[in-house]
Amino acid sequence: MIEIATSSTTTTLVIAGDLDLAERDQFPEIAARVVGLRRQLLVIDMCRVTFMDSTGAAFLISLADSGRKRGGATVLRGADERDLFVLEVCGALDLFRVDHDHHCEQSDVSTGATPVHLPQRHRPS
Amino acid sequence: MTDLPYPVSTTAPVSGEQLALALTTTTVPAFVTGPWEAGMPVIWVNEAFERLVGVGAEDLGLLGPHPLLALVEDDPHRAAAQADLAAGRAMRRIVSARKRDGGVSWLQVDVTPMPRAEGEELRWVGVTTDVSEYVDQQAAQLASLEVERRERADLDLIAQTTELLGDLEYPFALRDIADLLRSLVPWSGFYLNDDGLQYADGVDVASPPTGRGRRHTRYVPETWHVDLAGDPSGVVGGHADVHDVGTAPSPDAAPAVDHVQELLDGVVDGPVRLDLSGSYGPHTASGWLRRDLVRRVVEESGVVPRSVVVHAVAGRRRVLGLLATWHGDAARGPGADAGGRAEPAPEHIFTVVEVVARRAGTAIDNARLYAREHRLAEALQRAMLPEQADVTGLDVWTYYAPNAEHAQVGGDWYDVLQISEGTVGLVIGDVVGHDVEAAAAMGQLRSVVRAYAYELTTPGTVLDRVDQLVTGMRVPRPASMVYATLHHVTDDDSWSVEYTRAGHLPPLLLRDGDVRLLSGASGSLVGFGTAARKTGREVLRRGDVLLFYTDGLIERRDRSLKVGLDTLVEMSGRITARDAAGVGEELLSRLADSPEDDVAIVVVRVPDPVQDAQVTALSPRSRRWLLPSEPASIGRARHAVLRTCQAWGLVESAAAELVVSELVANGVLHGWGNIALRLFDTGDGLRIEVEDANPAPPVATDGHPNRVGGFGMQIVERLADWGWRPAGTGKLVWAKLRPQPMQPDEPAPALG
Repeated sequence: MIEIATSSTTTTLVIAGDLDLAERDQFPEIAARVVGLRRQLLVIDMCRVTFMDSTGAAFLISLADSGRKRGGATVLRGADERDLFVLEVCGALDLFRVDHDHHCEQSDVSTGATPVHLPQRHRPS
Repeated sequence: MTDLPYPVSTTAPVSGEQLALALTTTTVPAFVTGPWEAGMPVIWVNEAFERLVGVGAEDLGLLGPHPLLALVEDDPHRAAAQADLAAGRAMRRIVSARKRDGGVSWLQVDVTPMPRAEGEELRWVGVTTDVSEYVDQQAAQLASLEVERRERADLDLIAQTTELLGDLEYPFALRDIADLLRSLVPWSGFYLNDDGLQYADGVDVASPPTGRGRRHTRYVPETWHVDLAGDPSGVVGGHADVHDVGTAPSPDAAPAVDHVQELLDGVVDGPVRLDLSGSYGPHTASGWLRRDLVRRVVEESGVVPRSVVVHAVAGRRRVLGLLATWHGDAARGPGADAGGRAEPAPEHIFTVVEVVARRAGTAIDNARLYAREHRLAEALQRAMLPEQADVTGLDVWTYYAPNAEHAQVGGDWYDVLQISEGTVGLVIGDVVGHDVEAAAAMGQLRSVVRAYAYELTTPGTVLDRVDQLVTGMRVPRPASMVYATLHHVTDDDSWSVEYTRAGHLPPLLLRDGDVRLLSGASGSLVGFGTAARKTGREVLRRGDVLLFYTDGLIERRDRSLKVGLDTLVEMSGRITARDAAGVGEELLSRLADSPEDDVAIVVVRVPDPVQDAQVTALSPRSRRWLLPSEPASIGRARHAVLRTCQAWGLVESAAAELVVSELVANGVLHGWGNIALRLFDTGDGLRIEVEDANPAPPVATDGHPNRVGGFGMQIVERLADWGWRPAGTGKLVWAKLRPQPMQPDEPAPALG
């Protein structure tokens, strides 16, 4: 499930559940609505995302990319190591500002699997 | 001493006078000239030379310096030959000369410096030989060689296009063919008429074979209107079939006839020449094509084309598109005379382009028809495939293997339905035979059972109604089935099962190593019931396993069904697995060694949270699932992996989940038919196998922006060693997860 909230400067996208091919049908409409809001800052809240694969990553990348083209920024909040790994393989981590300090309210249900250390590229701080 | 066969000549040697006479009277034209510095004046010629040239030495003297040059045509080797003469070296070359009758003769001229005494002026002696015959012969040979070479090149080009047409899934197949043709003509391009013309780099095989569309409205900006006074019409290269399209424009002229549309409609066979300076209606085929062509040719070559030749790309029933070739007749602006017109293109170019257009048409038609048939068959088969709904509170595993060569569905089926909160419906059935008719009968029966299952819950009642309806429906094949409902009792969190059988083998109840046949509530085949159907009941305990199956699991030619059933009961008693997939795996590994019929299996296990966590089963460490090709299968595959990792105590579940998600997503997106997922614990990392019926190998793209999930295989590559191999009619993609560094502090992976 994907919810869109907006303030004068920020669009917040709260995503819950799996972000994979099964959800792809709703991507274009959401992308169109986010772009239509024309906010400078897009916050993607992934605290309640249970799983994301390359299809989901492609969706986030398209959002961040269209934001960047208008000079905006995209913040990724609550993404777990595996989500960041997927974005990194897609070569798209640079498109996002990753909010490392955020603590999800329900961190115990944030992912379907136990955190496992995946191979990670060294990220520039 | 050698005896010669004839006497050695004893006559006197030839005198100098005789030699001079010989030179004068010989039929070989000869001449003597002065030195190069003096302009090589002709001093003497013999009679033959006079006959050949028609002038004597005196007349040649009137021509000034280098008089002989005036007699022959200029040729590219003259400078080199003159350098030889200036240096005093002998020279030989072949020149052409005008004959007195106006024809051309080829002469080989040999000029040699004569020996001279000290202080004497250099003299040259020249001899000419008429080699016209040889030169003409050679020219004819060269010409025929050239024709042969060209034919070979044309054939080679056609062969290459055929190869490209073999793989129309490649998105730039048409562009590559057009590029090949550009070795013959300066520009060429394909257009397809899919609800209006459009330029085509490749063929969208998913698009149905249309060739339809009479309004061509895809936007093309007007870049350059060729405004010419010149008349560009004319028969193309003497090719009598080429129709001219459009005439010289004049402001008042009515729009020209839309010959391109006629070509698309199949009214004319073509090719037609499209005059790019003509005026056509904006949405006509000729008008649209003119705009698009001018824009493209100007963009790519910087030259404004004046006319193009358009060939029809014809399929079986209708013309699918166009192949346009521009032969390089640049518009030269007003005032260009007739000489400014391009050379007519050689005939062979038309032949090659025509052949390529025909082949492309057939190939595009075939590819689209095949894709359409394939989609149709896929959709129909998928609609008929068994379905397993995710039911809450029960561990369900299903298996379906049609024993048909060309179809994915047979006569066996199962259904797992969540009828309401706490009620699960379960069907397993078998229509006699395993051909298409059996599958069709199965599809009908399945719908009937489903309809009543949602309406009435008691199995006996449901089957009574099914009997009634099937009797009236004339389902062409007899069928057997078991229908069961499982009810959840919320008070004590227990399950019970009700079932009825219509000529079907009894389900098995596995409890603590004991196996019991649920052989009550039996009746005749579906549609043949005269007595009311009965309903059997059982209360289930935690850890109980219900096993539903079709006779393909146990039936073999070399043993009776009774023996097969005994074997099944015996095997089932030895099952140790504590998850439904594990139970199924043990069954298959021991029984379905060489199935001769369709096989359908449903395993339902009531979870036992206390015992399951304590006992580690000794069952084989491999699992398999058959998933329908739909996006929802991706999530189910992930859950299956998580559950299996938990059952096997593997820690790399997060990576496994990611890899399986990508592989199954690829199978859903690009694969055909059902997706088979298999997991193996190699002891050195989890091995994941995903099989589908599409033989095309997976492609690791570099993340093409238009291809969603293009990074999928890159993710797999980062986490696992992977590969693929052909399997059956399709392919199997495997990935073996690299062992993760063990983290002792970490808790056991949680259930997903």
